[in-house]
Amino acid sequence: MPFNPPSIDLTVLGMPALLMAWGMLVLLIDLFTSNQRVLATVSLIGLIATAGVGLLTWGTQRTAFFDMVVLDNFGTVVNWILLGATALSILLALDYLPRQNLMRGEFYALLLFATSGMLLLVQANDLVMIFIGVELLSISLYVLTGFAVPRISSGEAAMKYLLLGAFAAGFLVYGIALIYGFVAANDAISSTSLTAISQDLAAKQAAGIAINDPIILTGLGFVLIALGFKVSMVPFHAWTPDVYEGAPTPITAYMSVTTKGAALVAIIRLLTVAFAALRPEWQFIFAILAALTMTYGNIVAIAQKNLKRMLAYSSIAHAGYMLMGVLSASPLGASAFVIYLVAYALTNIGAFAVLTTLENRGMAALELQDLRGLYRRHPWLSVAMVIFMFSLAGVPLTAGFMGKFAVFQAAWDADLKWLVLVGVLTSVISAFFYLRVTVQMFMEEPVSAEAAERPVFATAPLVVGLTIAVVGIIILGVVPSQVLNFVNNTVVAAAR
Amino acid sequence: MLRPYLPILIIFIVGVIIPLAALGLSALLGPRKATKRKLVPYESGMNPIGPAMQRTPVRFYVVAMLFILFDIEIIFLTPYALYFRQMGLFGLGEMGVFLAILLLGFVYIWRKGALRWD
Amino acid sequence: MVGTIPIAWVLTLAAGLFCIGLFGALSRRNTVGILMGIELMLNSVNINLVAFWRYLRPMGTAGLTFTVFTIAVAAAEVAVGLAMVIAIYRARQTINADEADTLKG
Repeated sequence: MPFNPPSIDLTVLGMPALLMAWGMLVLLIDLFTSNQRVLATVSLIGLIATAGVGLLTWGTQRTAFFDMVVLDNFGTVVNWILLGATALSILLALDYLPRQNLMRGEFYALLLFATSGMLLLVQANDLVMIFIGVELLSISLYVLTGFAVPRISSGEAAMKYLLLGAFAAGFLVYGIALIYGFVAANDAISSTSLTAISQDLAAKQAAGIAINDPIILTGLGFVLIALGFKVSMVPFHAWTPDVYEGAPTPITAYMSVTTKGAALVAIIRLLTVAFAALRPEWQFIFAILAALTMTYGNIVAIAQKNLKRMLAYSSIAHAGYMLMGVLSASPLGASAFVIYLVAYALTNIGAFAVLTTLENRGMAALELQDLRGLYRRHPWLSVAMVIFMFSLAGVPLTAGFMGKFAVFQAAWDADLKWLVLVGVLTSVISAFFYLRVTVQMFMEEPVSAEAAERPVFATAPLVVGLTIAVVGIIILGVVPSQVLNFVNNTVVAAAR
Repeated sequence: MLRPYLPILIIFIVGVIIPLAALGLSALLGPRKATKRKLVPYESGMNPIGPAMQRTPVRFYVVAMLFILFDIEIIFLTPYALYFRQMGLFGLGEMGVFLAILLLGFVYIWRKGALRWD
Repeated sequence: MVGTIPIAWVLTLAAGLFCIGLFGALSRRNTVGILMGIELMLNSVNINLVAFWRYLRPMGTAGLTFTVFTIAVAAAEVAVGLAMVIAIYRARQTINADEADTLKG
């Protein structure tokens, strides 16, 4: 076999590669210092540097490494969101880890490795890259979930996540193998890149071969099951509440946002680049799953007393709304997804930040009633929580409203009017349990005198994180047009 | 269609018959006089100490785990071993990067004390 | 020799192994047993990939490369799994998956 070296083009791979190298640097520094602040600061610098690489490569659109990786503005924007979410999570973790006695240096390195996997997944243009990206982020997250391991619920959550995740990985590779088998029969196609798959499907269509072959449909179905698992789409959501409850709170905040974002970008690329020709096959099924996800998440969340579980079910529901943008399979849908992701990242990490301030060592779980009378203990914190809850519910003048508006508009344009109706109805249902949280904080008395005295750990990094989240939500909610225009322009330009 | 595979099938059959025959014949024909000395796990070997189902110390698992990781990572060297001539300096550089990363992992577990036995 | 055994046989073998692994992963109570089932699932995929490569595209490399990645990733996953088993075992002295039921659901 002749050897032709791949087109080594590190600008295309710049963001994930730099972050991965930075993660190794953090790992090395960890060997020589046990100062968590140093590690966190170095990690934050790494995140900013990686975002800077995105700025340098802005506007270029090309693929490299045998079409395996793609660089475009859409991917860069999503990467920035993921990097921002990671940075906010580090702010959450800074004081939480020592308080819970979880000071181990691998934390930040693993966080950076997981994020670099996500960036790779966002830029993946090949089934192999999708697999590697998914595994890189998953394996790091398994460990991070179990980071609080002397606490039994954390170990259990990690084990559940690992077993079910490895199970999903089995489906992912089997699906990829089937797709590869289908494409490999075509002599003109030399790889498993998404563009090659779409070329193969087009060639088969032109030759009059039916492309809704059981092999390719099974393969696509398996891949989507595995990615849907990462997104926690119903019916592959079963792990979500347990894992989110057991994981350390900053990690819950981190993975509830970033994993969904990265996996949904992979789904967008898979469906719109590779399998656009099979659109009639997948769009309707996906619409039904999105409707189920929204309905299930919001209805089950009503019954939850544990705050982390409630937010876990709410995150399932939000995955459903983001899926609406994804399955519209249009530039409008993709930009709606990006806007929703920004709004959701700010809001959800903010809400978990509030939980982080209330969580003390040795506390069993944070229940809804623990919020009672928070307004009197810490007025600013409860005002911030109200803003987050309003934004999650999609009340106008918050970022959440803009996100929902955008995805509804995209689905409406894609002629899925019934899905928009489901979305609106479930949003109304969700308002019930989000508003219940505010009622608890402002109108109820604390359960006991001891509960009224509980400390609130609103330390400096957390206040910074909360401020960023609140300001972002208000800016996006009150004057959204700049952001909307920016996202629309970049995504539409990338789709061309 | 499958003619070339016929010898393999024959080997399988022979391979099953021979041990079965050996065990069966010795069970049928051999004399059996069970004495206490013959019933110990290692006849004319050392005397057993303690139960066999003893718990293995966790240290073994840690070493096994690290072994699996470093052992399997070597699989990435296989393609290079086949094509190192054609790949020239480029391949050397790539493998250097790969091995450097692997070495970093090794230094990490070493410094963290995962290789210490006591 | 290729061509004497039709590809469908190899694929059936892989599918069978995948199902055995699936059954093992779903039915075992022991965590290590579940991990073994998952390993079997991943390895059946390797058979699939190598078969597709050998029969359909012997001059390409995509199938082979992917197999290498699957093996490596599977090893990483199992190593993390074992590490977790050890950690949980130290915390509560059992490795049975269904005894880990502090979390509901």
